[in-house]
Formats: sequence, C-alpha cells, structure tokens
Amino acid sequence: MSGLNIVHISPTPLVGAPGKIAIAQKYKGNHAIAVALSDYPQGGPLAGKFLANTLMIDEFTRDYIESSIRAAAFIHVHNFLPPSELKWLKKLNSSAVYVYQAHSPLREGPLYTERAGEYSEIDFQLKLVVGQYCGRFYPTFTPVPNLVLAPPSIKLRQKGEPLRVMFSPTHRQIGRWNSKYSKGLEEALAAYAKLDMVELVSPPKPVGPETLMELRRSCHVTIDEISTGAFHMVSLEGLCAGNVVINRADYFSRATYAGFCEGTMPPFLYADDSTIGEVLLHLIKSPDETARLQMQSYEYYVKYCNPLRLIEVFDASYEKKV
Amino acid sequence: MHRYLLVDPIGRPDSGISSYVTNSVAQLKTLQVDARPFVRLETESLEDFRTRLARYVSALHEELVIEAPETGASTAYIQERNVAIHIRLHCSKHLGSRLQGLPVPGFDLEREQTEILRAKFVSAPSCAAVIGSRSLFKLPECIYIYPNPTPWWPQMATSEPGRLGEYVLFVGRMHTLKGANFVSELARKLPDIPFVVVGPRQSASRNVKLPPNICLANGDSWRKMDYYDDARLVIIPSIFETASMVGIEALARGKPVIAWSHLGITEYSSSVASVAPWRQEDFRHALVEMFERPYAPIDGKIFCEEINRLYLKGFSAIQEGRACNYMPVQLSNRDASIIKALTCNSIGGQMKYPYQMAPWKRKLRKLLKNPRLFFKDAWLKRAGVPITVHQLPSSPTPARSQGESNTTTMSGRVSNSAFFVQIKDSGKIQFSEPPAKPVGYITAFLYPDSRKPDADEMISGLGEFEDFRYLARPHLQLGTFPWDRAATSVDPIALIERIDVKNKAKAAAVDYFILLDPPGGLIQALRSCGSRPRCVVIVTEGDVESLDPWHVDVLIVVGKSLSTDKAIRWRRKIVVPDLHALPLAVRRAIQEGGPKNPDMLLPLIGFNGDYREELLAVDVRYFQGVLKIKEPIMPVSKNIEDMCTQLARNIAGLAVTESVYLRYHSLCQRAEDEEALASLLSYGLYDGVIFDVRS
Repeated sequence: MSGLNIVHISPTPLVGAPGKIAIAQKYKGNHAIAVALSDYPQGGPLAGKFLANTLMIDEFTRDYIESSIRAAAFIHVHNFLPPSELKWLKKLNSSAVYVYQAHSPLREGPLYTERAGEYSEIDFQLKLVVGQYCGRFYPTFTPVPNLVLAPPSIKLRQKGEPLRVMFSPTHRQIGRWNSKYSKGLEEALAAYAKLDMVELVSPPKPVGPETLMELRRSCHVTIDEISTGAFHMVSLEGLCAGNVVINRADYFSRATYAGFCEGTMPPFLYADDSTIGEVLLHLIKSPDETARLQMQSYEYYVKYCNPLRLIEVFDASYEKKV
Repeated sequence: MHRYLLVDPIGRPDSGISSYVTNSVAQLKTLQVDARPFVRLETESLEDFRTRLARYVSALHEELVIEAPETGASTAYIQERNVAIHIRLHCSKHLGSRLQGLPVPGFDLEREQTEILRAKFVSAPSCAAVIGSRSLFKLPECIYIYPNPTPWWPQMATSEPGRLGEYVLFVGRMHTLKGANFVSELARKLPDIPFVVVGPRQSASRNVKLPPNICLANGDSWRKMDYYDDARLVIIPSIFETASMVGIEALARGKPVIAWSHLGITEYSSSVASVAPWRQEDFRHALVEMFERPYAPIDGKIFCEEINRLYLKGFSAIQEGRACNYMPVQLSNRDASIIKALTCNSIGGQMKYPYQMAPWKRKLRKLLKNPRLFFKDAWLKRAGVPITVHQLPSSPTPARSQGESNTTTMSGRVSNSAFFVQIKDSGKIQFSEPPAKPVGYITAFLYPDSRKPDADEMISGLGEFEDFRYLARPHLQLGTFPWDRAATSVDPIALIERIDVKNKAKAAAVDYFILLDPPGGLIQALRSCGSRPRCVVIVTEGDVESLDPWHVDVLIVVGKSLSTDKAIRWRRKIVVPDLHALPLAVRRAIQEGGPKNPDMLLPLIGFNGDYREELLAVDVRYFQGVLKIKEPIMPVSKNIEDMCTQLARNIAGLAVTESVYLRYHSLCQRAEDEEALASLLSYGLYDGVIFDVRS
C-alpha cells in the first residue's frame, strides 16, 4: 500500500516507536509523519533521546503539522491523548480513518485503564496493540509489531573470549508489568562480573538508543527483564545485534510476535530469577553454544524482522479501512 | 551429652535470633557440647523450613535436643519421641503485632502455643520476656531465665580519621516497634547532637522526613561494629524488647546504653541508663548529660565474660532440671507492671508514647474527648485500682476491638472521620493512608450515600466473624460514593483522572474493594488503580448486564440466578437468597482469594497419574498454570481472544494452581466447556497469570 497520508500522534515520543513506523511507511511510498505533544520530562533519563524521527509541536512546526493532519487519510493515535487534543484533531480532520494503538499495560502507569473510548466523538475504526505482551490486556485489539530500524549485524563469540553481556534497564519502576528489577539477575551478574567470567556492559547513566545499539553489537548476550513474563524492544534490538537474548517471555508473548513471523517463535533463551545464574554459566562455559545461539538470533532477525517486511502488518490493517 | 540443635527460623545476619544462634553455638562449644545451627535459607518459606527441619530430625535417628524460638513454631512437624524440644522466648512476632494494635492470626498463635506446651524446656532471655510472653501464651511453671551470650570484640582504642565522629547511635529498622518515631523526635529536639541510624536501607528510606542531624547508614552492608566504635552512646527506645541484641553488642563493645527501664536489656547490666517508659523529657536529659560529660566507656570484656558465664550456668541448670533466674539485674515490680499493662488485651495500637504531651494536656484532652472515661479513671485511681490504658475515640490507630472500635459505635454506625474515601460528583478523589503494616488482607467496603442503613447492617454482619477479622472494623476500610447502579454518567477515565498518582498508590494497596450496587464506571476506575485490588461487586437490585465482567472479580447477586450462557462471563459468581446471606458470601469470596501456601497445581483436564512428575517439577512462582496442547498449532491469530479460542479447542491437559482455581471458580467448574476454557485463558492472561504452554 502506498501513496497514503498518515499522521502518527502520541503524548511523548514513546521511545521512538511511532517514529519508526512512520519511517518504514515512508520507505513504502507513503507520506507519514510522527508527532509528539511533548518530550519526556526535562532532566529525566529519557529527555531528548528519542526525537530522531519525531516532530514536536512548536511555533515553527505547528502549521506544517496541522496541514498534514488536514490531508491525512489515517490518523494513528498512540497510547492516549487528552480529550482536548482529540477534539483538536477531530476539528482539523473529521473524515480521516482514526486508528488507536496501545503500547502500555493496564492497571499501572501511564494508562491505568483502556483509553480508546476517551473521547466519544472519535470512533476509532482500527484498534491495534503492540504485539509482544500487551495483547493480553486488549484481547480484541489487532496485534502489530514493534520495529527496529537499525541494520542487523553479528559478532560471534570466539573461543577464549569472555562472555560480553549487556543489561541496560531504562528504569527501576515497580509494577506487575513495568518492573525490570530482578534480585537473582543482579546477584548473578555482579558475582560473574567480579569473578571476571563476564564482561558486563551496563551504562552507568542513560545513553541514547544509537549509542546503546552500537555497544550492543559488540556484545554476545542481551538481557531483557526476567521478572514479568513479557519482552520488550530490547529483546528485538538484541536479535538485530546478533545477541543471545535472555528474557522470561511466556508463550503468549512469543506466540503473538510469531504471528508476524510466519508462526516461528523468536529464539529467546528463557530464564527466571531462580535459573538465570545457571543459564549464564552455561553460556560462559560454552563459546560454541553462545555462537550458535547468536547465529540463530541473527538469522531470525534477517529472515523475519526486516522493518519493510513487518510494516506490511500495518498495511494489512489499514487496507481493510481504505 | 546429646547433640544440641539450635534452630534459626529467620536466617538473616541482622536478626537478633540469628546472632543469638551463632553466639550460642560458639559458647556451647566451650562446654564440649555438640551444638549445631539449623538455619532457614533465604529463599525458603517458613513452611518449607519446618518440613526440612522435621525431615532432618527424622533422618538423624538419635537422641537430640532442639532449641528453637517460639516465633514461627519451627518445630511444629517434629514428632520423634527421642527429641527434646527447648523453646526460648525471644518474643513472638505476634507479640510485636499485638503491641502495635495489629491483628494476631489465631491459627499461628495456636501453633506457637502448642509448641510451648509440648516443649520439655522453656527458657527466656529476661524476666521481661516471660511477662511479655505470658500476655500471649500460657506458659509452664518452670521457666529457665538466663541471658543471651555475646562474643567479645576488642574495642578500637581511638577514632580513626575519616570516620563519622562522635554521635548517638540507633541500630535497627525504622519501625514503630523499635521506637523510630521517638528517635526522629529526639533528634529534632536536640539539633546540635549528631545521630546515626543504622538499619536496612529500605526501612530507612521509608522515613523521608528525618531531621538534618540524623545520618542514615545503610545497614544492608552490615558493618555495624564500625558504627559502634565511633558512637558516643547507643539508644534503645523500643516499645518492647525481650533482650535487644543491639544493646548486648553495644555493651560488649563498651558503649554506654540508654533504654526504657522495662526493656529486657536493663536486666543485663546495671550500667544501662534506664528511663521510666515514655518519659521522653527524662530520656532526653539522660542523653544530653551522657553526651556532654567526659566519655567513660564501660568494660566490655567484663560484661561479656559475666553474661557468657551466666548463659552457660543457665544452660547447665536446664540439664540438671532446676528452675533458675540468672539475670544480673532484677526487673523492678513497677517495670513488670508496665509490661503487663503494655501487653494486655485492651491496649493494642496504643504504642505511641502516651507521654509525648505534658500530663495536664493529656488529661485535658481526655476530659474533652471522653469525660466519662476521665472521671471513671480518676475514681479508680483514688480507689487504688490499677487502670487499664484505654484508647481515645479519636485516635487514628485502630484498636483491637471486641465488636466495637474507635470508629464504629455499638450500633454499627460509622463516624465521618473513619472513611477511607468519600467520592463526590466532582473534585479530587483522595484516599486515606491504608494501614502501614497490614497483616493479611486490606479490605474496603464502599456503598452509595443513599444506602447507609443497608451498609450499616452489612458492616455489622461482616464484623461478626470472630475467626476472620479482615472484614471487621477497623480492619475494614469504609467509603462512599454518590451514585446508584443506574447512573450511566460515571465515566471511568474521568474518575481515574481525578485520582492523582499518590492516591492511586493508596487505592492500589487495597486487596479487596467490596462494592455495594456500584455503577460500572466506578468498578473499572478503582480496579485500574493498581494490579493488586480485586473487586467484589454486590448486586442487590437491577440486572447485571450493564457490568463489564473484565472488571469484576467476584459477582455476588442477591435473589436471582443468571442464565447459563451468561454465567461463563464471570470469574466467580455467587448467588445468595437474600440480604442476610451477604456477609457470609463476601467472606467466602475473600477467603477463597487469599494466598495459598503451598499453592499446588490442580489438574482440571488430562494430567492423569502418568503426568504427576511433570506437574511436580513446575515452579508455581513463575507458572500458575500448565497447558498441554494436542498438537503444535501455528500461533497466527487475529488477536489474543482468537488465540485463546484456538487453544481451548486443542487442550490435552490443563492444570492451574489452587489460587487460580479459586479465583476463577465459576469458569474452572465448567472446564469441559470450550467457551469457558477460552474465557479462563483470556481472564487469566488479563490478570497476569502465566501459563506454561507445552505441546
């Protein structure tokens, strides 16, 4: 599908996710922009780090954004917008197809409750949800993939080379699904690092996604969180960087993503708080096994996770409403 | 001498019991006793620990003496006749709960009582421990009283450069029971004296409003000996202590100690500066005087030698079967009476330093608030009758009631100040602070303003379960809302927006919202505040069609049966004949949803005998259900609902934990029905249940 005018709009840059969709849609011949109402809070760890593909509304951009909204065939709202902003959108363009996409779990911040019905005058004709773990909160929404735009690469672990592990939680929030903290993981990583059995790559302060990706390419293992049963963008970036990806993703999280990949489950290595030490030790001891799993990750990404391939999932959803 | 096993059911280096076990093993070795510690593992539940201990003892096949604290009833599963149990009264955690006015679970208490009564020996680390424990347990006549031992550490001669310098030291959790409130108050009133508080990091960080002269030191890294060295003196303002390892360590280190006179530590050495309980002014004076006068350390070595000698003497007395009291200092009658008064039944929740205000202020307050009590107590005092301390009606701390509490009158009516939340048509929604340290469940009952008579009856009915106090005031929080069920204007998103993050956190601390005829939007808003609250919805009028089953955990319907096809919409549905049956139905709903330990997997479909091994290997902390599918299916589905429907058609086996079974009771009972299975999977996923799916 090409030649469509699409506007993605979100409250914050949402770690760049809407921007990446817009870029992939541009590659497909559409005119797509991503707009954020504001950046992450000033002074916070994420401020200014995810603006690469996203327009912020200010005096300079307002006219352009408003004209894009007027011309849009699809207005794609991400996570939630205050009713006043939805009213503004509706006023600018009442004939577009309105799409809603949820990125966050329910019963904890930032959404707490489902927001697709926030403003009764807008009827969202398409309801989408990020197809990793969030689908369980929106059982009737159509899952769509998160995209990684970076080119894939791999640096296989050699014999005698210490295991290089990246663990870079963006926050230490608590919550059933927002948590990234795991005591067993912290203890295992600290112990192995102290014994020089792993080279731990963990940024001491928040860094931009590009820097993180470059460092990830030099690693053999990416650890997502192992406390909730979900997996996140980090896992997909780990596949892209040819890393062994460790997380605690359950069947439903993996199966939802497999739905975009011809039914093939992503090659994640399962670990929970009680087994993470053992899983890491297994990798530490076996460079060959690490390299084999790295190759599996890389091949999976190359075969299924190309953003131009995955964007067709969005196309298929849009197509029904054209 | 038989083998001597010292049981440590805490297993944390910062715990007094763990220190006692370590020190005792070292001391008993000097008597050539084959003493060994048996320590609870960090990851082990108390139940598992009890089982492991029983198995260990059973495998030994030899005569054995097991010494264990009464708390936790670690020896509960030991049945061997050749084992002699020795219970040492270190202070049951239930005594701590009672002192703070928290409920004491009857079952746990009975277990501890059973162990005390069947023990061959009962000992205590002080007379205070015996008197305190007697308020909770029936104790045998013969109790061996002797001090806890301590190792001796050579004291650092002088302060090293770069250290913190001279200060007043408090070691322990920033907890009411440890007198943390008083420490802050003390530091505030003595701004020129530096205080150092060494405790677990988490408990320290909870207390955010500390005065600037308090320095928090992270006790997690546990280098407390270093802190003792540079301390000028150590304070122990706990509400109650049977001994206080902190005090013993401080004395062993040669540090002066100030403590309330009724604490067990005052029986350890005459050099402890003891102050009559709650005389804060006197405590402050004693502290200032000690801080300002030239530093005069006490001889820690002599102290250690003396109490270790008495410990071993007490231990030998046990072997010889003669009762003893080897405490170096005897507890005064006045302090014994104080301990009795503190721990008596009617005083729960009173532990807030009643002498914080001047006596005349206190009396005036009492006269204004409760003149009847004021004159009654005055008369009793004149007549020479000991006065039981009563709780004033306005105190925010919940009292352990006998069917009556500070906020609920005899008629069951509730005063306005008692409300957890009062929702209005507009404005911010604010919740009051839920109990700081809940034991069991936090429950909140919310009803429409217009249904007060029904609500009063309901509250009174819920309070009648003597064996299940989670639904009784003051444990039960109360709230009101202005709408009836028919109100369609209640927008959940608008309600959520009226609750700020702080108040959402307060609402999220509630385990169960019990809602009487609520509008759908309110249920959704309350349940969305956090992943913990569950909503028990009572419908006494109208139909249930307007309710969204995704937001209802338990539906209790009065006097009507739902048609079969609709029944699968609900996780748990209870139908009662009339309003009188409601309290029992609510109790069922809440008791069913309580934590199960151990939480066993319960096969619903498949998993015949052959598969038992498979289920036993599942770690229910990470998987609350096991799903076996007949054949690998292509996981390409429209959405999660579709995926659950596909899986439900392909199920070869399904097992869920007992807690999941009870939570989705209405669906699990119909597990043969594909649609019910699909609903079970969808609801489970929505609520955060993790299934292990196998093909």
